Amino acid sequence: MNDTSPLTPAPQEQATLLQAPQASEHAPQIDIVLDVINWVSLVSLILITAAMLYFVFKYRRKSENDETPHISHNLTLEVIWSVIPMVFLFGLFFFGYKTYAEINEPPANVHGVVDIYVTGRKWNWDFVYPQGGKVNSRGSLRNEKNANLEKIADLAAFKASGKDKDFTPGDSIRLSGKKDFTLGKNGEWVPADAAASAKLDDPKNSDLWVYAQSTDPKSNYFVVPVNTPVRLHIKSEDVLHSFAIPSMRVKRDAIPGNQFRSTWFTPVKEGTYLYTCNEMCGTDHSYMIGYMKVVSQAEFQKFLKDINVVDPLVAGKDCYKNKCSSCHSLEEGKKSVGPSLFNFYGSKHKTSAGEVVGDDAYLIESIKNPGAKIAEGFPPVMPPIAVSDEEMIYLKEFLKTVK
Amino acid sequence: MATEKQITKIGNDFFKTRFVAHHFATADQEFDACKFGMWMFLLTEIMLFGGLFVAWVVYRLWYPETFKHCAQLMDWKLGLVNTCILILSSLTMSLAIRAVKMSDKKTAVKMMLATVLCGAGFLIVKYFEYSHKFHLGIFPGANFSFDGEHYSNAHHFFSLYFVMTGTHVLHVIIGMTAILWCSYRAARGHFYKDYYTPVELTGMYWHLVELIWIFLFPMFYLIK
Amino acid sequence: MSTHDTPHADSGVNYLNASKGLGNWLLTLDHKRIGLMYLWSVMFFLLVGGAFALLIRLQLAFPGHGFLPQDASGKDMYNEFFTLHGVIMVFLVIIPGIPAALGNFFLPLQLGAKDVAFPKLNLISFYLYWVGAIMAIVAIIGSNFGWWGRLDTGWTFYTSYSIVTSGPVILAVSAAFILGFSSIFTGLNFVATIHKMRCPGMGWYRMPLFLWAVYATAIIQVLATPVLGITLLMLIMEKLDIIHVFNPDKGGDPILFQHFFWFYSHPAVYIMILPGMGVISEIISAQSKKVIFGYKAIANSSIAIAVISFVVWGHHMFMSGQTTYAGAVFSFLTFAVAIPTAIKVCNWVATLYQGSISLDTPMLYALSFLFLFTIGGLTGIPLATLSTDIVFHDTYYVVAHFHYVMFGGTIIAFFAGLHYWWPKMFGRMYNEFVAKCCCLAIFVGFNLCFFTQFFLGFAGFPRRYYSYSVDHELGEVWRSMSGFSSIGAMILGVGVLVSFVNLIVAIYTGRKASDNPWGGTTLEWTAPTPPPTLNFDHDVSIDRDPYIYGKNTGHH
Ligand code: HEA
Ligand code: HEA
Ligand code: HEC
Ligand code: CUA
Ligand SMILES: [Cu+2]
Repeated sequence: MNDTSPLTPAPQEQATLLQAPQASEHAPQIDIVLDVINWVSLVSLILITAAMLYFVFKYRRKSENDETPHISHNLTLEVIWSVIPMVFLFGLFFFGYKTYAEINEPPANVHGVVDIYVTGRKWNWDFVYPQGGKVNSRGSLRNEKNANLEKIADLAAFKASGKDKDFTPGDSIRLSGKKDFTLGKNGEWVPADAAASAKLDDPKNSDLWVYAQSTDPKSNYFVVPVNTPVRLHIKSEDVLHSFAIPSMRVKRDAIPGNQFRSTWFTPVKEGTYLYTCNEMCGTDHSYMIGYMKVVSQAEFQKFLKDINVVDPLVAGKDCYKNKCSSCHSLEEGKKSVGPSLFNFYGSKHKTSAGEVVGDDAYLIESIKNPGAKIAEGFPPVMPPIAVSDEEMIYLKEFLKTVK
Repeated sequence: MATEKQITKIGNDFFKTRFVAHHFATADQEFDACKFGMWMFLLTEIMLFGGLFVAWVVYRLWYPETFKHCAQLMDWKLGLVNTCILILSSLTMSLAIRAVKMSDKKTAVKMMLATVLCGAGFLIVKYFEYSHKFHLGIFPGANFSFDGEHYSNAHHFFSLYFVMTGTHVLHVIIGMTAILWCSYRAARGHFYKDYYTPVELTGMYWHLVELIWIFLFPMFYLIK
Repeated sequence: MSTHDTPHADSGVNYLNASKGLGNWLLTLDHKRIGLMYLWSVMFFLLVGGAFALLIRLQLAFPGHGFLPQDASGKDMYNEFFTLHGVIMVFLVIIPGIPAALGNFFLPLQLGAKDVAFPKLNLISFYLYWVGAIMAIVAIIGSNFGWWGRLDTGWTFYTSYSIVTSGPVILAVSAAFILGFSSIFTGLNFVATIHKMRCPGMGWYRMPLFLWAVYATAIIQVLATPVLGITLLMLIMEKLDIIHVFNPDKGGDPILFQHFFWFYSHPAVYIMILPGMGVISEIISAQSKKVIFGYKAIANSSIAIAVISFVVWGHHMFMSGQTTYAGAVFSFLTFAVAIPTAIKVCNWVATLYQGSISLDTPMLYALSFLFLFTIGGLTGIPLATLSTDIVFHDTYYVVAHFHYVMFGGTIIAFFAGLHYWWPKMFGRMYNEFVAKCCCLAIFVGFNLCFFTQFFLGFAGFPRRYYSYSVDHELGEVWRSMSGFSSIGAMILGVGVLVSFVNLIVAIYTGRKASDNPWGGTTLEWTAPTPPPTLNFDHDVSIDRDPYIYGKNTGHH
C-alpha cells in the first residue's frame, strides 16, 4: 500500500531482540528497571545453575555403595539465602513501584498537552480529538479539501468497501473526480443535484465527506506531536479491549462502562509506531492494530485541520439541544424537570450518595446510569440516554464552556 | 445389609467388623476422619457463599440508595418467622444426635422428623414470599417488571436476593433429604451409641445451613 | 464391592491383577487403580491439548495468514484452539495431573495407609472429572457441527466478551465448575487422609516432602476452588440473564469478574506447581543418596506459599485501571511469595552437595526442572513489577513465563515422577536410553519453543493473535522468533510423544524391576512391586525420618 500522506516521518529505529524502540520519554525509565531485574535474575540463574552443574559433576555417583554425609540443615546458610533474595526482591519492588508512581498518573492540565479519546469496539479503534474530528483504524472521515488521501474512484468501489452502510437517506458523498451522489430512500445512490453538491462544499456538513478508501491501517494512522505530553483517555463500547503502543511503553485496558481510564506518554522520536489490542475481544482481535504517527507540531496542526469535520462546540450544543434541553436548562439556577446544567463542571452537586464534584465521570454516569446518584430535590425520572462516545466528548467540551 | 436384629444381637463387636471400612484401623479413626472431612467440606461451603457475600457487599457499596430502598419491600416479619423456624430446627437436630448417642431410637427418629418438618415450614414461608414477589413483577433477571416506586437499579438487589436465598433453599432441600435418609436408617436401627457418624455429619451440615440463613436474614431484611 | 481378601506379593497377586474385567476397574475403590485411571486420562489429554498447541504454532510459524482459512471462520477456529488448549491443559491436565494421578497412587503408600480416607468419594471425583471432560469434548464437537459458535474466550472466560460470544460458554464453564468439585473432593480427601491416617510413628515432620506439598496443595484446593465455583455459577446466571453482576450494560462491572476469577486462579497456579516441587524433593534426595537439605524449610515454605498465594491475585490486573495504591500492595505481596520459592530452590541445590549423584532419567528431568523452573520464576518478577508489567502484560512474555513454570516446572516434574515411580507402579523398567534421548529432546525443544517467546514479548507481540503483520518497527523480531518457536514446538511434541510410547511399551516388554530400583527410603519402596490391593503385606509403622541416607543415619 503506497502511502500518499504528506506526513513523511524520518526513518526510524527497529526493535532489537531485547528492546522495542525507546520512543517515549518514560521508555528508558521503564527499561532501566527491566535491565536491573534482568541482571539480578541472570546472576541468580547463573549461580544456581553453576552450583548445580558443579555438584553434579563433582559428586556424581562412583559406586552403588557410596556413602554420603548426613547434612540435615544449616541455619546460617538458610538465613543467608532467605535474606539475600528478600533484600533484592524488596529492592526491586520498590524500584519498580517508584518508577510506576512517577509515570502512571497523567499530568494535570499542563499547557499544550494533547488529549485523545480512544474508544475500542469490535473491531476497530476511534481516536477522537476534542478539537473536533476523529480517526478510525478501519477507515476515517477526512476533510476533503485538505485530505490528501487515496480517494474512492467509483460507486462500485465505494459499495465494495462496505462504507455505504454508514450512510442514511439524504446523505451525499463525493467520490474523487467530483462525482457526487446522494443516498435515496430505497438505498440507491443517485447522482446529486446542484443543491446537494453545493452542500458538499460546506465544511460544516460532517456527514458528507469522503471516506478514505482503504481499510489498511497504514492509511488510517492517528497522529500525535513530538515532544508534547499526550493523554489517552481509553474506554470501550462493547467488550474488554486493551490499548497498547509497545514502542511508547504504554498500555491500558479499555473497559466498557462510564469511565475513561487515562494514561499518558511523551513521544520523543518522530516515526510510525504500531499499536495493538492486547485483550481478547473476539474474531478480529488480531486485526485491532494500526499505526500512530509522531510528527512535528506544525504537521500535527495540519493534521487536525485535515480531520476537522465538526466544530466540537457546535456538535456539543446540537447534542444538548436534541437530547437534554427538554429537561435541563443552561441558565443559572433555573430548574426544569431536572437541575440546570449551568456551571456543571467543577462545582459541587448534592446527591443521594453525598456531595459530588462535577467531572467527566459524573456526567457520563448521570447519562448512562442516572439512577446511581440522584440530584437532591429532584425525582428520579431521568432515563438512561443513548449518547455515543464521540457525542459525549463534544458535549463535555460544550458544557465546560457553559459558565 | 445389616439388619436391626443382627445389630442388637451382636452388639459392639459386630460394629468393629461390620461397619469399619477396610482401610481404617479403628472405629474411632473412621469417625474422626469422617468428621474432619465434613469440617473441610463445610469450609468449602463457607467459601462458596463467601463469594456471594462479597458480591453483595460490593453492590451495596455501589448502590447504597437502591439497597436501602429495596430492603423496605421485604417483609421482615416473614424473615423473622423463618429465622425462628431454623433455630428451632437446629435445636431438634441436636436433640436427635443426643438421642442417637444414647441409643434412643424413638426420640432420635422423632426429632429428625421434627427437623424435616421445620425445614418444610421454612420452604412454605419462602414459597409465599417468592410468589408475592413474582406477583409484584419482581422476577430474577430479564423478566424483572416491577413498576412500583423504585430506583432503576432495583434489579441488582433482587437478583442477588433470588440467587442467594435460592442457593440457600437448595441447601435446605439437600439437608432435608439427608435427614430423611438418616431417620429412615435410624428407624431401622442402624445407629446407636457407638455408631452414628452419618447423623453427626448431617447435623453439622444442617447447622451450617442454619448459620448461613442467620447472615442472609439481616442482609436482605434488616439492614436499611 | 471391592475385594476384601489380602493378597500377598509372593503369590504374584497385586493391585493390577487382583480382580479382572472392566467393571472391576471402573467401580474400583482402590486408590491405586483410581490413580492409574487418572493417569491415563491425564496423559491422553496432555496429547490432545498438545495437539492444539502444535496447531497454534503451525498457524503462527509464518507472518501473514497461516494454514487456517483467511476469513472469520478461520479466525474463530484459531481462537477456539488456544481456548481449548488452555482449558484442557489447565483443568484436565495440570491441576489433576500430579495430585490426582501420582498423588492418589502414592499418598497412602507413603503414609503407610491402606487407602485414602474416603475411597468412594475418590471414585466420585474421578467420575466428576470425566463428566467435566466429556462436556469439554462436547463443546469442541458441537461447534464443528454448527450447534453453537466456537468457544473463543480464552481459558480466563473474561467478561464481558464471554457474555456476548456465541460459543458454548455455559457448557464450558459448567465443565470447569464440575472439574472444580472433582478437585475439591480430591483435596478434601487428601487433607483428611493426611490428618487421620498416618501410620503409627509418622509425625508431621516425618512425612515425605511430597506429602507436605500435596497437603499444601489440597488446602488451596479446598479453600480457593469453591470461589471459582461460585464465580462460574454467577457467570452462567449472568449469561442466562438472571443476575447482572458482570455486565456493564446492565450496571455491573466486568472487572469484578477478574477479581473473582483470579482469587481462585492465582492460588491455582500454586496448586499446579506445589505437587511438582514435592516430586522434585523426593527425586533429588533419592538420586543423590543424600538426606534432603533443610527438610523443615522445604515443608514449611510449601505452607507459606499456599498462604501468601491467596493475597496476590491483583497482579493479573495491573493494567485494568487499578489504583496505584492497590497495585503497589499486590505487587509487594507477589514479591513476598518469591521468597519461600527461592528457599526451596536453594535447598535442592544444596542437597546435591557431597551427594552420590546418579544421572538416571528421573534425575535428568529433576535437573531440567531446576533450570527451567528457575527461569520461569525469575521471569515472573518483571511481571510482578508495576512499571515493567506495562510492557509485558498480555504479550508473549507472559506466555513464555507461564509455560516455563507450567511445562518447565510442573509437566517436567510430572515426567520426572513418572520415570521415578513407573517401576513401582508396573513392576517394569522402561528403556533408559530412549527415555534419556526424549528428555534431551524435550529440553532442547522446550527452550527453543519458549525462550524465543520472551523476545517476542520484549517486542510487544500480543497474546491470542491469529496472525501478524511484520510491516512495522517490531516486525523483524516477530518474524524470526515466531519461526524458531514453531520449530521448537515440533521437537518438543516428538519428545513428549516418544517418551509416552516408551513408558507404555515398558509395561509389556520392559524388564522386571526390583522393589527399590533407586534406593529410596520412603515407605512406598518397602511395599511389594507392584503393590497388593491393601498396599503392604505387613503392618506398617515408622520410627525414623523419611530420608535416611548417609553415615550416621536416622535421628537428630
Ligand atoms: C505453575 C504455575 C505458575 C507459577 C509457579 C507462577 C509463579 C509466579 N508468577 Fe505467574 N503466571 C502463571 C503461572 C504461574 N506463575 C500463569 C498461568 C499466568 C498467566 C495467566 C493468564 O493470563 O493466562 C501467570 C501470570 C503471571 C502474572 C501476570 C502477568 C500479566 O498478565 O500481566 C504475574 C505478575 O505478577 C506473575 C508472577 C509470578 C511470580 C512472581 C511467580 C513466583 O511465584 C515465582 C517465584 C520464583 C522465583 C523468583 C525463582 C526462584 C528464586 C530464586 C532463584 C531466588 C533469587 C531471585 C531473585 C533475587 C529475584 N505470573
Ligand atoms: C499445562 C499447561 C500447558 C502446557 C503443557 C502447554 C504446552 C504447550 N503450549 Fe500452551 N498454554 C497454556 C498451558 C499449557 N501449554 C495456557 C493456560 C495457555 C493460555 C491460553 C489462553 O490464552 O487462554 C497457553 C497458550 C499457548 C500459546 C499462546 C496462544 C495465543 O496466545 O495465541 C502458545 C503459542 O505458542 C502455546 C504453545 C504451547 C506449546 C507449543 C506447548 C507444547 O509443550 C506442547 C507439546 C506437544 C505435545 C505434548 C503434543 C504431542 C502430541 C502429538 C505429537 C500429537 C498426537 C495427538 C494425539 C494422539 C491426540 N500455548
Ligand atoms: C426526561 C428528562 C431528562 C432528560 C431528557 C435528561 N435529563 Fe438529566 N436529569 C433529569 C432529572 C429529573 C434529574 C435529577 C434527578 C437525577 O439526578 O437523576 C437529572 C439529573 C442530571 C444530572 C445530575 C445533575 C446534578 O446536579 O447532580 C446530570 C449531569 C444530567 N442530568 C445530565 C443530562 C444530560 C447531559 C442529558 C442529555 C444527554 C440529560 N441529563 C437528559 C431529567 C432528564
Ligand atoms: Cu480488541 Cu482485542
Ligand atoms: Cu498469578
